[in-house]
Amino acid sequence: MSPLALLALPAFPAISALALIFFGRRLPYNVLGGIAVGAVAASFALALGFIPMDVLGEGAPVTLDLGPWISTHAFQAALRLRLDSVGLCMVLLVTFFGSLITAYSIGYMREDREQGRFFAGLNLFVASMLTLVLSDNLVLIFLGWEGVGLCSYLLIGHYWDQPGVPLAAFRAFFVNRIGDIFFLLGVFTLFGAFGTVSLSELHAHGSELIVGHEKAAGLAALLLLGGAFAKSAQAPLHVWLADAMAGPTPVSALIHAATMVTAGVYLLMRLDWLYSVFPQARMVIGICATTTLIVGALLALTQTDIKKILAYSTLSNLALMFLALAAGSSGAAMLHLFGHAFFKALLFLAAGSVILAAHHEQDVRRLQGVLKTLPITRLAFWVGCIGGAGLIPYLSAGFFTKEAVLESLRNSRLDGFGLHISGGWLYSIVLVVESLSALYLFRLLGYLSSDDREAAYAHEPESGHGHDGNPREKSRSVRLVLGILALAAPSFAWFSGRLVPLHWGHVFPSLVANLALAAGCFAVFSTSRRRELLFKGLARFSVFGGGGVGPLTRLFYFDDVYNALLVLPLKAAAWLLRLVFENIFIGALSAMGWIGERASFLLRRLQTGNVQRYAALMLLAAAFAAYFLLRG
Amino acid sequence: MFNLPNSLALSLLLVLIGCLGMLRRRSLILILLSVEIILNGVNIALVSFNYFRWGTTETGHYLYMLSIGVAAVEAAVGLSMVIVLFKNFHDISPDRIAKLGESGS
Amino acid sequence: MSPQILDPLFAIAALGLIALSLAVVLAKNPVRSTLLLILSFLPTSFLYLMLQAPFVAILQILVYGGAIMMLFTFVIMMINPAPKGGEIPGETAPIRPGAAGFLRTALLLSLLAAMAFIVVPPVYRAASAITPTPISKPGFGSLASMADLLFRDPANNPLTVSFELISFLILAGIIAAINFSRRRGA
Repeated sequence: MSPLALLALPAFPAISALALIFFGRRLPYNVLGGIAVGAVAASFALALGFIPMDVLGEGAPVTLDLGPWISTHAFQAALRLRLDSVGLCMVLLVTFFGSLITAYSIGYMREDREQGRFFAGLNLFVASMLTLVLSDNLVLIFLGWEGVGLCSYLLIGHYWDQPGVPLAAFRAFFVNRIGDIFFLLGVFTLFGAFGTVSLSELHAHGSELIVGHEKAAGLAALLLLGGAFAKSAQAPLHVWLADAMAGPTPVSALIHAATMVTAGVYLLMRLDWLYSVFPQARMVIGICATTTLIVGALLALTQTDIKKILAYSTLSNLALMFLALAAGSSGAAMLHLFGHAFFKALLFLAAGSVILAAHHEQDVRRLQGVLKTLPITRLAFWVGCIGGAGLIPYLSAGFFTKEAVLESLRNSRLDGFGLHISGGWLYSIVLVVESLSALYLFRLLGYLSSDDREAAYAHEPESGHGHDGNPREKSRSVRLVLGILALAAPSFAWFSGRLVPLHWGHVFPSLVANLALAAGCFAVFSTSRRRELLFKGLARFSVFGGGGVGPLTRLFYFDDVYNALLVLPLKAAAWLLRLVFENIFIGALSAMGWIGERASFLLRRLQTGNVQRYAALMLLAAAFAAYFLLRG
Repeated sequence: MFNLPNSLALSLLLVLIGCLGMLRRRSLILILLSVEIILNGVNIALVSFNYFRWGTTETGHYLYMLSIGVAAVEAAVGLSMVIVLFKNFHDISPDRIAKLGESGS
Repeated sequence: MSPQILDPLFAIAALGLIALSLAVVLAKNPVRSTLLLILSFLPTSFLYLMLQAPFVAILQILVYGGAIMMLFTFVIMMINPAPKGGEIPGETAPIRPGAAGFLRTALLLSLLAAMAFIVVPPVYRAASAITPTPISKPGFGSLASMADLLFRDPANNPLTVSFELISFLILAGIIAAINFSRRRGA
């Protein structure tokens, strides 16, 4: 397998994206989808071809040097692609989910609009993500970084004429941009400290190069955190992920569950050697990740939109990955990255199937019992929820991965900024929050499987649906992909079980607790009578108060804080400038105009058209001239 | 009394009389007539300079010929303009046909 | 002519000329103004004769009186505007009532008076300082002398060329006058 194949990996989807942009409108829909899927699947097949090269094992990484890119006297960045074991895993992840989700989109987007643009965006996204994962220096990573951010914006804004969508897309892009600023500053500082931006060089000689530049390196570590936080939606830069659900569901599955949001984790994994030297940075990661963990879980518990529930769950799980990084175990982070991708993508795609079958209805309260007539989706949801909550060890995709994270936390310590947090605290917090995940996932499942007759979902009988007006799974590709993933997730679970040692003593109680919570929650939410009882009971606690202004409804006030800190000062400044401009500048200009008008009034009297007056003026001038001529 | 200063004074007075008429008459034709008086005064100055100061050649007489040539052409063109104006406005009073001012349309 | 009668002759001619010109300017009737102007050519010609310019004197009568004033007469006869607003067409603008009119008239008269009193004395002084030179050319001012001045050695004589160019000037005037009388448009 020649190293040139490395170039082909991102090239296939990139070329496909270009082709779809230019010819998308003229091609029939199935050809469009076929090209899109084919490109990503080709990359996947190509990536599989690297496995025998023992890259995953102890073999040397494959590098492809495409020549100098930026080479000046002071700064060089080479166009070099590098595939090592971590890289290959990421490539396989991206291409696997990329091809599956693109295939799913063929069914999902069949009656949608501007499909060529959509598939082009998906392909471009995959190409950018692959560039990000394969590149060997930070500048090229930034290229992929920007590319995925751009595709995220484009794809979120797919339904651009619906209210709130362009704003949501812009918000995602904007917060990402802020992260990009931090990223760039971090790269510059890193270059200042180490003199190179090449990852392989940094990895090999990092400990020598850092001598004498500790402060700069520490600053760079913190700045790069900003970039990672924005991309992976950690507090306080997490506010965009929920809004990003305005895009089509395949986009949410691919970008905001499995791949783009993991770019931040990937970056920190690559720079792990740097963070191992600076415990303060790890402290920051720990604090922010813990905050995000709790916020995400609590908010997922009270949302009523399917996709938002899943989005906040993603927040929580990403925080888990960051906690693993804070504890120093990038292996655990990577493992949970994979596990989460499996069950979250499955859940999102299943949710998409529900949304599609129910004519784009997304409120769970109106979707009760909808899974009754959607068999494959029902299976997918059950597998996904069991996986997400980690209920059954060898069948839940999330179980062993969360165990790995917990393990790494238990033996760790966070030190920095004068604070010391022992891993035990974190361990306990994670344990408790993960029980919440059982709660919110099965709450969702409960709504969707509710057997309540009166509130059940129904719409008028139409052609294309069953005669009884029930929602049906119409699309073959949707069902196929759901089936594949429903099988793949437990397979991964079983596989991960071989990698992670299990301490039954610690695990057993939490397992039992989670099972009980899940069963109880499901039972409550799947029957409206019990649900009413629950709500009545909870209404006594104002935190959950329906319609109240508790922190949950206000999304923990993050938006309000941003509004006060950023938006209001800008608005005030704009108002002030407008005042100055309109009154002073325009006033000055109007004054000049007024002066001109008055002057012209006076001068106009000279032009009467009366020849005799003109003659008189000429004589006057002549008299003056004569006087002055004769005087001298 | 027949000397250059007096001739020049005569010429100047004729010019001023012509100016007076030019500024005060209410008919375009009579304005042109007053201009002829001015030219007349200028011609007298030309010829008297030649007589009193330039006895060698008659350049002043020649200048006189130029002057009346110009006067003829100017009178012709001016009067044809007056005729056209009269056709349009049926009035040759300069105050009333001054259309450029604020009260003009 | 002997110098002794030149002085009173000059005085008579000059005063007559001034009086007639004033009359032209102040007359109410436009026809009367024209005729008075023609009449004023007589003292003018006489002055030219006294200035030893017989050719010029004849030209004055012939060209000025014979051609230009004919033009004026024709036009005045042709253009016969009806009296508007109680005024004789062409009469001198009356002094407008009120402060504005008074100011205007005063301004005008003072302008002319200023010109007269400011310009005349320096000119007079300067002119007095000039010593007159006598006529040295034989036949000064006669037709033969003029012809000699204009047409001798035409190749090197600037006056010949410019004399002929007057005809171009007249041509331009003719074209302009004809163009004015053309109907506009179709």
